[in-house]
Amino acid sequence: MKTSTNSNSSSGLLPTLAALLLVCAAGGAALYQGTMGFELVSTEDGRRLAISRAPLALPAADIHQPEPGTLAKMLHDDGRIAIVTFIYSTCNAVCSVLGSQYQQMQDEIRKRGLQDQVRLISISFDPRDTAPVLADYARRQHADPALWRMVGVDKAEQRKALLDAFGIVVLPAPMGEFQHNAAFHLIDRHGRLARITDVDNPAQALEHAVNMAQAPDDGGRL
Amino acid sequence: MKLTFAPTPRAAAAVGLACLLAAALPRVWLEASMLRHMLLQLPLILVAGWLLGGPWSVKPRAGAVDQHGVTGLTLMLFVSAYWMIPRALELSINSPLVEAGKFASLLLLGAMLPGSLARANWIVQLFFLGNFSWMMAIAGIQYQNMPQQLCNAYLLDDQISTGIALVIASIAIAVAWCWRLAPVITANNQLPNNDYATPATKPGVDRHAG
Repeated sequence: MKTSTNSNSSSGLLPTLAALLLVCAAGGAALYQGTMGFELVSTEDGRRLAISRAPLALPAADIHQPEPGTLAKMLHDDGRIAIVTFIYSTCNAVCSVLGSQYQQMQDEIRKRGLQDQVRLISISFDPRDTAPVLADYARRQHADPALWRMVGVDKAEQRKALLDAFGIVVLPAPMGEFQHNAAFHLIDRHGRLARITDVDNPAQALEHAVNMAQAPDDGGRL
Repeated sequence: MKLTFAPTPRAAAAVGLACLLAAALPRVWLEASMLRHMLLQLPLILVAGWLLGGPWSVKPRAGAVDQHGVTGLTLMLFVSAYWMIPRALELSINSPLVEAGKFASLLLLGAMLPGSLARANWIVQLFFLGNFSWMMAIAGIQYQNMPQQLCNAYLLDDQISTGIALVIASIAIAVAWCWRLAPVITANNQLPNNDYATPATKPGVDRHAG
């Protein structure tokens, strides 16, 4: 009785071990995928890592900058590296900090004579930011149109597609504000989103942009 | 540790189905907040799986791949760890595939747990409970301490309240689980020296398998 029970349970152990192995393999693979190779846990870090691994072509968007045009044309015909942030002009929180950071970056670019290598673009995700509103905002920020453009996207579906492509999530916050994942987005010479850097470190963003501008062409046009 | 399904199977299945619908239909509302997403929707799916699949999992045939409950309890650790990764949680909002995976994994876990708990002795249970509660509490503490948003879709305040709720839940689950185990542990401790000395139990026979 005793031996038969033991032999039963030892031969019966195999299915359990196989199932356990399966669970561990599937679970391990899922955790690996969910953390992008055990590198991160947050969505924002995931977005940045994914872009750094594979530059992303941007969707078509009709913009006013302030004159009508398309984002692709604006980026493509330029030859400079663009540092893009997302804003809304009535912002009192992080975007106003971004605004002053951009003013400092604009001064830095002028001081170092990088005008033909790097440019700044602020894209508004707020439909209330019409061309005149953004023009007024640009004046208040002392933006030099040759270096720093304030861009609005005309069509709602294109605005959404653009935000989705960049991975920008805009949440309504108290006091009529928005909260969004702010960062510096570096667009390469082929109009692709190539790198995302931390909003707390504008100097780093500028360094990366200069490096990208001075690097030999990687043939992304093909 | 015998799990008796006191309500009729049909009633349990009906409540399970209701839980599943409650988790699926107001999906957008539930997932709009991190707190509701993690501490309302995920448990609802789990309970749905428990009530719908539980009666099946306590059957001896299910025990063949789940001796001592180790398969189901290991699954519990993996599934709970995965859905505490903020990036995975947020992916489920945007990707239908990940959302389907979320429902499927939690339903499966819920369906397996009653059987696994019935088959696992108290030492095995304490081992997995310790791992699970510790992990959940650490995650909750991390959620509260992170200066930045872990999910772009959830505000920092929401993240902090979710973190507090996770710590509370981890303690509550540990207390409730030990409460259920207490009679078993006490019964074992009243015996001199060991677990097998009951005359009613033959040595070497696994009381928990099958």
